[in-house]
Parts: sequence; C-alpha cells; structure tokens
Amino acid sequence: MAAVAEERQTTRRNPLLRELGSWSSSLKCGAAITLLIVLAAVFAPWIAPYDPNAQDFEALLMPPGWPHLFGTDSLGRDIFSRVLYGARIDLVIGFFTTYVPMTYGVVLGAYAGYKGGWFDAVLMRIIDVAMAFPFLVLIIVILAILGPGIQNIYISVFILAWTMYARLARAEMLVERTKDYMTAVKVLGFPQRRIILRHGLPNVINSSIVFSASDFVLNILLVSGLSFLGLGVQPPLPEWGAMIAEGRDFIRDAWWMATMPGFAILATGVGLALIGDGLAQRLGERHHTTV
Amino acid sequence: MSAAPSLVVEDLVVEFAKPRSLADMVTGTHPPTVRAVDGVSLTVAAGQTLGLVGESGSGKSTIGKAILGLNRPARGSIRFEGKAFAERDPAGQAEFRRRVQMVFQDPYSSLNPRLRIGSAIAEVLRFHGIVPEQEIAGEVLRLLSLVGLPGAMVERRPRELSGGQRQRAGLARALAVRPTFLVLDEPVAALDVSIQAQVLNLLGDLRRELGLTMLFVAHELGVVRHMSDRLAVMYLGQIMESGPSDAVFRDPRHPYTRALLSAVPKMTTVKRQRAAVTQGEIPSPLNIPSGCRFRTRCPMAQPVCETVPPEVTVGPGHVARCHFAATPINP
Repeated sequence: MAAVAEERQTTRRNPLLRELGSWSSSLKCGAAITLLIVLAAVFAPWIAPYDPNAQDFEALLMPPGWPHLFGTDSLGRDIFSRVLYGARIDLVIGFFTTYVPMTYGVVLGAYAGYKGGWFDAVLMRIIDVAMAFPFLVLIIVILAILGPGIQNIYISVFILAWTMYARLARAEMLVERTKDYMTAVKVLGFPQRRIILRHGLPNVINSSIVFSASDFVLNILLVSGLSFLGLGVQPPLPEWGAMIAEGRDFIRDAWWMATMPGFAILATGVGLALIGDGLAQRLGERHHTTV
Repeated sequence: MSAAPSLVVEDLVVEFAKPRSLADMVTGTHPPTVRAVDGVSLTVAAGQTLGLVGESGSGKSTIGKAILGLNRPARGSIRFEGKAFAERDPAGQAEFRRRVQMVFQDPYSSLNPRLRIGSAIAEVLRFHGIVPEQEIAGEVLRLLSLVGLPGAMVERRPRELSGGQRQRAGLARALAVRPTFLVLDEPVAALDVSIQAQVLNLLGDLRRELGLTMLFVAHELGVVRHMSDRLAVMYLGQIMESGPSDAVFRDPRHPYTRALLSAVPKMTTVKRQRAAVTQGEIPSPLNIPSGCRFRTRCPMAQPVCETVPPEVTVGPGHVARCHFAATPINP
C-alpha cells in the first residue's frame, strides 16, 4: 500500500524529475561528467580562448597559468583550446566506432540466437576467428592494408567491432527465445522478423547498452593509441591521442603537453564508465523485478 | 451429445532428439530420441472442454504445443476443423492463428516485459486487423474488462502487475484475435490457490459467454474437474484413461487415475487409502517400461502387466488402457 501511495505522489511530479530522481549516484555523476564534456565539445568555438591551430612563437612551451590555462605546446598553440576542440573529434569518433557496429552487431546476434542452425553456426565461427586475435593487432593489420587515416580506422572498426555485440545479443536471445512471450507472438502468427526485432531485440539489448559505455572509452583509447602511433588522426588536428604523441618528446621539460589531453581522456573514461556501471545496476534491477 | 469435432488428433508421436555431437558424427551413432508423446489420439468436440491431466513429464504440454504447430510431430496428424496446419494455404494459416490461441503457465514470462499491457494487446488487434484503427483503443478496454481488469491497466507494464493480473492480461491478449479454440497450458498452476479459483471461474464464464472450445492441460485433477466435459489422463506419453468427466471421476478404471484422484484434497474426511498412492518418480522417458508403462509404480501390478495392455471400453466413450479395466474395483 505504501508503494502505491508513493507512486501516486511521484506521478504528480514532472516525469523528467521523477526519472532523474530514480538514478543511482554513479549514473548521476557519470552523466554529469559526460554532459560537461559533450557541452565543451559542442560549444568549443565559443569557450576556447584561442584558435586551436594558431601558432604563437612568442609563447612556446608555456606552463599552465594565465592566459594559457593548460599551457602551450612546442608550437605555441594553446593546449586548453586544443583539448576543447579535441573533444569534438574524439567524441564523434567514439560515438561512431561504438554505436554503428553495435547496431548491426546486436541485430545479427539476435537473429543468430533466435534462428540457430547454419546461420548461427557460420556467424559464431566468424566471430571466434575475429576474437582469436587481439583486437588492436587486427586493426593495425587492416590499417596496414588500407593505409593510415581516420576514414580507414572507421572501416577497420566497422569490420571487427560488431562481434562482441553479436555475441552478447545472441547469448541473451538464447535465453529470451524460450520464454513464453516469444512463443505467444509466434502462436499469434507474427512473422519472424517482427518477433525478433520488435519483441526479442528490446529484451536482449541491455547488456550491449551497458557494454557500449565502456566500449566507447576503449574506442577513444584505441583511436588515441592509433593516433599516437601515427596511424590515426593526422596532425595538426587536435586529437587527444595525437596530442599526447606530440607531447612525448617534451615530457621532461613540458609535462603539461601530454598530461592535459591525458586528463581529458581520463575524465571521459571515468564519466562513461560510471554511466555504464549505473546502467548495469539499473537495467539489472529492472530485470530482477520482472523475473 | 457431442457436436462436430473441432480438433482431431490421431496417433500423434512427438520425439525430441539430442543434437548430434561431433563424436556422434565421427562414430556414426545417432543420439537417443525421447518419445514425449507416443501414439496419442484425442478428439475435442466444438464447444466442449477436454481436460488433459498427468504428472510433469507425461507429455501433456507437448501435445498442446504440437496442436499450435510449435513442435513438429514425428508421426500422426492434428486436424483443426478437418485441416492440418501444413495443408493450409498462407491465408488459411493466418486464419488458424486467429482461431486457435494459447494461454501459458508462467504469468511472469508470458508477457513482454517491455510492452505496456495496452500496446501489447493493440499490436495484436492491429496486426490481424481485428477492428479498424480508430476502434482499437475501445477494443483494448473491452478485452480488459472481459477478463476483469480495470482500464487503468492499459498504461501498466507487466512488472507492475500481480501474477493473477498478468494471467488475465495474457488471456486478454489471446482473446484479442477472437479465437474459437483455446489451449490452456496449466493456466493456474503458477498462481496462489485463492487466485486459482478466480481465474478458473473467469475461464468458465468466458467459455460460456464466448462459446470457446478448450484443451485444458493441468497436473491436478481437482483443477480440471469443474472445467472439463471430457478427461484424458496421460502417463509417459500415452493416454491411460479417457472418458466423460463425470464417468472418470465416479468410476475410474485405471489404477493411475485412481492414484491421481486420491491425491485430490477433499473437504470430507475419509479413510486414507494407502494402496492407491503411487510410489516413487515417473520413469525416464528414455527408458520406458515394457508392457504396461505404469506397472513399475502400479499397486495392482501382476505378471500379465509385462504385456501391452488392451484399450478396454468400459462405458460410453470411456476407455481405459489396463488389463484389469473391465472389473470395477472399489475397495
């Protein structure tokens, strides 16, 4: 009865506030950090005090302070501005390298889990092969064939990154397809496509959504790492990994060159990891109350 | 007495095989198959309810699923209104999907956790074009009230409902296509006893109001007693005894039926009949006893039971598969 009364009270409030109120603290923290970074990326042209590529030979390797908050690099570029603009590049890369493969990975996995048979067998063997090699090694192999550059990073990630999502979705679908509600829609004569996409997919996507938060971080680190190796974003674009690579030569004299973009990666990682953690808890909870 | 048959099942055999492992393929052996249903024939007359009773593992749910085409029979035929599912053209199969519906045992898994009750039912109406688009909302409310749920349930998700409410919602979804035949797979087994009675009463009312034909699968005789016109008692994939509900209850001829009957709790205190109680577990369907399959647990077992028992007609429409069925034993 108390629960009913409480529910009546909360429904009167703004649904947005009610939703926010039900978030766990890790979800709130993660969302706040991530939102801050997204806002920084969106409003970079207005926030950034300098042009990220403007060189100032009067102010080379200035330590953090005023007017260069994060200091300047070896070409006198303002690191704060470059980190802000870098958020645009890294978030966009992270978004596409995570959610494009997730989309078709989850769909393929859901089909494989539901249908079984040769489709499932072939798909799973392909995934086994792809997963037998370290992810980064395969990416580098593909990049060695296609050549460096951000476009080719996208292509290589799209070729490989769906496998994890397909596996997750398939595993959940194997459980879900035996449940009565999936049988019920079959008995109602719904076509297979509708059963898998409309009834199966929403119920098998949870673990993929949770995984995508940490995958987002890993993908940013991947692109940063590839840029660091010179295979990714090419200078003078202010990508965080590329900036760290540039700062490596000056690490003894100008620690801020590599450290500041490093902090940006760290903050993004922490924000997204907290979101992933919060989502796992939240979606897990929902799962438990329904069972 | 009986109208035209709605559903006729003849000599149905359903087998389950373990998938062949790599070792099987190398050695060329086939994994053992389990006969969940072994030569079952039954008829459900239009407007009547057949109660299908048996222990878990007896194959009763498998029959229900086979009727709906959810598993492929190894042998035998299932005809709904004279036609097997495979003989129907696509339009006929779509019609079959509207005419024959199923209610599930577990109310906690029978509803899509992501869909609100209203949209789950509306989707069915829309997909099958039961009512025009603008009447869907009204039809959803009508269906909910038909199963005794308040209209406010439209906006609820399954996790906000109790077990009994979920079962009613599942029933509303099945009734949305206006079926004439319902397969009820242990519809109350997962519910509290007090809720069981409510749902059973609801099913009884619906049967009368909508003229539904039903196959009622249950493991408790007490549950089907007031619902069924006819009863079939299953054991290890075969029907042991079948007949008009009254006759089977009044004069059970198979020792297994008697054992099940003695397990029904009664309000009046009678002397405990220990002899009728079966011992032990149902044997593995991988290793079915020869002759009478019940003989390993039968209190009346004799040497003759090692031979296959005949089907003895003991009354009008009342058949028992037992060597001693002809003699009514009422100790």
